[in-house]
Amino acid sequence: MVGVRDARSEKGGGARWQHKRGKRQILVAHVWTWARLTAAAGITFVVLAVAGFVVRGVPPSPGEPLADARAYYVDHRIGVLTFVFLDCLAMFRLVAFAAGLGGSWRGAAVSRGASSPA
Amino acid sequence: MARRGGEPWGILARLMLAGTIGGAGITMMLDMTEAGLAAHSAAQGEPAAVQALFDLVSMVTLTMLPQAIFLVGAAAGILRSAVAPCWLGWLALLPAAGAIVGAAELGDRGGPVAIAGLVGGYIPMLLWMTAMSIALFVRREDSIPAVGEQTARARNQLWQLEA
Repeated sequence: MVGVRDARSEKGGGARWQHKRGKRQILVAHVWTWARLTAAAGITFVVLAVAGFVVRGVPPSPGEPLADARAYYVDHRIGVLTFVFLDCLAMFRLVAFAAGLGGSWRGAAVSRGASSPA
Repeated sequence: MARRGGEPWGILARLMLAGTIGGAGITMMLDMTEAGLAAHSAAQGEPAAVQALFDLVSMVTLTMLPQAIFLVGAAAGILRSAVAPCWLGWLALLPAAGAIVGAAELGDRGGPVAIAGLVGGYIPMLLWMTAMSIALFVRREDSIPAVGEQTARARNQLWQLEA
């Protein structure tokens, strides 16, 4: 018999716990779910980054004359603004990917660390 | 061992996240500058102001340094935790090295170093992230390393005995 309850009502925290064979267990990670969310964040980062570079066109190199740079930004105004929007979204995805990747280490560390002294 | 990445949110995870947040922050700041250029300044601004903003946007290669930190942290974490195939950990070092080279573009604007940074740093990072995402997506729950006596897995959930 496995009883699962949300400890929030008792402790005020967000941890879930269960009783199994008379022993109390704490839910430490959703391994598969987080791995897939992390993967989705990584894929969308790549898609957004590539899409951003496609819509903006070839930017002027830093050494080009100011007139050329100015003409580029005037001619590609919508493309650059779209790129900025997509790139900012991509950055949030990148941070989510890194956080998810670090979180997946957590699951692996808990799996390992429990059997070996820290 | 625990403090080098085995521990949840150990130093490697923090290093990786710091690199990511740092890179994202700098990138978004430069994005906003570029948006300002495209929206108004390039068409109506003073030449000196436009030049200054354009020079600032050209500093985008500096974002490659935190990118390298992110990749090195990710590589070390993957190799230690084995959440993904080891070769993905080693592969992350390639764009990390390219990113470090690419950051030197500031001294060689538009030159071969810039191309090396793009071809050796940014594009391989996109490819690595794609491969890493696919590896995470297809990962099976039983691919997680040995479960100790204090932990148990039930489908996608990891449970630990309360101390």
